[in-house]
Amino acid sequence: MLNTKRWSKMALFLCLMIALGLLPLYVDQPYVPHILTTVFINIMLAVSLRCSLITGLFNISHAAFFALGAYGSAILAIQFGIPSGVSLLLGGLIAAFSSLLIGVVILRLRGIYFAMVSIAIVEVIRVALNKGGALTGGYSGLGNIPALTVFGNNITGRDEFYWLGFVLMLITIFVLYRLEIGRIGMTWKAISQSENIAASVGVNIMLYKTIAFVIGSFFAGLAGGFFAYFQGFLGPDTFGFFPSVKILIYNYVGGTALLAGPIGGATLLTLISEPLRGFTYYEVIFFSIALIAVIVFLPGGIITLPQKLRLRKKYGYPT
Amino acid sequence: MAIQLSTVGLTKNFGALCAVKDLDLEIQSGKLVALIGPNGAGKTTVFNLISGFLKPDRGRIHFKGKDITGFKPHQLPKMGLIRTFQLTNNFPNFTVMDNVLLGRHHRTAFTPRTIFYRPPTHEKQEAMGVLHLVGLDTLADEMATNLASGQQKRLQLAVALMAHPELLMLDEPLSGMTPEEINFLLQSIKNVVGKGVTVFLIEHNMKAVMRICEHIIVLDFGAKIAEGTPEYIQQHPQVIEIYLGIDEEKHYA
Repeated sequence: MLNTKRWSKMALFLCLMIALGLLPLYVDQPYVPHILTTVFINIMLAVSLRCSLITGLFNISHAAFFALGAYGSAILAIQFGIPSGVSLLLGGLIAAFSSLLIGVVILRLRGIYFAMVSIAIVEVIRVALNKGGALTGGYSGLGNIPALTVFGNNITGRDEFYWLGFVLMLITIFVLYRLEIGRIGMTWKAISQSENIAASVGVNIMLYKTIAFVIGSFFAGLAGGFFAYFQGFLGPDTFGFFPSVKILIYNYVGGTALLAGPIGGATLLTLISEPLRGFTYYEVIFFSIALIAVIVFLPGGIITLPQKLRLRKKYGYPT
Repeated sequence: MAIQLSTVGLTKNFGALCAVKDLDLEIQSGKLVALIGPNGAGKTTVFNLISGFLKPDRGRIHFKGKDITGFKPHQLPKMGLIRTFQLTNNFPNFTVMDNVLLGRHHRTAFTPRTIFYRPPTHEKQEAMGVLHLVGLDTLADEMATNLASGQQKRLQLAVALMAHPELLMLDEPLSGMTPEEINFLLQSIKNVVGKGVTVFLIEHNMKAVMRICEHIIVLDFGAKIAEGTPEYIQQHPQVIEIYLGIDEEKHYA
């Protein structure tokens, strides 16, 4: 059959999804759904950063929009009494709107200059959150985040957060996957390969870069809103330069050729680095070593591993 | 014959270097026109000015009766002006097919169908037809980076044709090609002109230029020194001078 391989892949994927969906019912340890929810958030971040990366934008400001989404939805719920489910979505929109304002200015820069300014953005946002006074809670952070209610369901327990995170992650992956294979995604990839040729067939470079930046930031903001309710507390140091770089490393360790790359990278690195959470120095060392190891031993990221192994089996060592 | 593209007093300086000097051009629609001149004469600069990649210091550019001076590069394909580049690998990490499909970018509407799905079969068939015109249909699934330089040039032509040009500006379309490829491509270009497309090209291969072009413009140090039919250009003393050098005995006599 022509499509046997495709169907078997689909079936495998479905089984995995069902297994992941039912997991909290069968696993007694509350710790497991908790870690996996963190994995879902990191996958959302990694996949949404991919919009910028496939457009050729080395975007180090992603955690800034994650922070804006998180603080935005939390502040809307605390200060303005907006229903928590709505504020979750508004968090994404706040991040998208601010990225539009910022992007229109900084996307005019190219290459390394864009990367440098994006570092400035993430630091400016972090400092602003620190100095935000009563609104953001300043250095002591933002607590008292109300309970999350989505479509009348109270999301309070670990399992409910797990399911909501799972659904949000699936939506993010699905939308961004469809975008990537459609005309917008193809245009993004074209821009990263040659801006001149793309412009010569009528691609509005600024427009498509802005779309990539804004859509990526929207999903980062959505992840932020969910993160705010999931944690129940926000500290400014959760967001900043290193969290931004972490999201980049998920992408590069996983591999940038396919959407599966950031998914795999975020899953693997989050699970392995879980014991290091809180020990920032060790976390930095671990992520640096992971990045260097991938660059040296697997330049295409871990998604190229199956192909490499297949080649090695066929032709022997070295490949 | 209607004039499709014209420039008046087009001037561009790079610092103290005058790359293009008071250039007046007129290109009639449906013609095959060549822009020739020695290296550094400013030919590619003229292309960059017309296609919006550079802004002129002085002068105006009109296309189909509309002033397009200062237009952004991406605004011109919609009006029917498409250009290619001298050195390129196209989009190296796309397949040949995806390269060509991107050529119809400005003709694709924003609908949920085009945003969330791969291009439909009829678009792929259209792309296949264009690839057939340039003789790359057997390589449709190859990555563009794996093509030889002559094939890259042909792919570039295919991408440009997919954009449905009215004026096609080709920057050295024949460089890096074997003689067979040149013959094949010249025929393809002639066919394109036969369909009513104006072709404006820069080329160093004089034999080919003389063979197919109806009108030739010669540029030297940014200024136009001659224009006319191939026969006229071949006889023009100043053209002979810049291509063959000055006959010193005569010059100092």
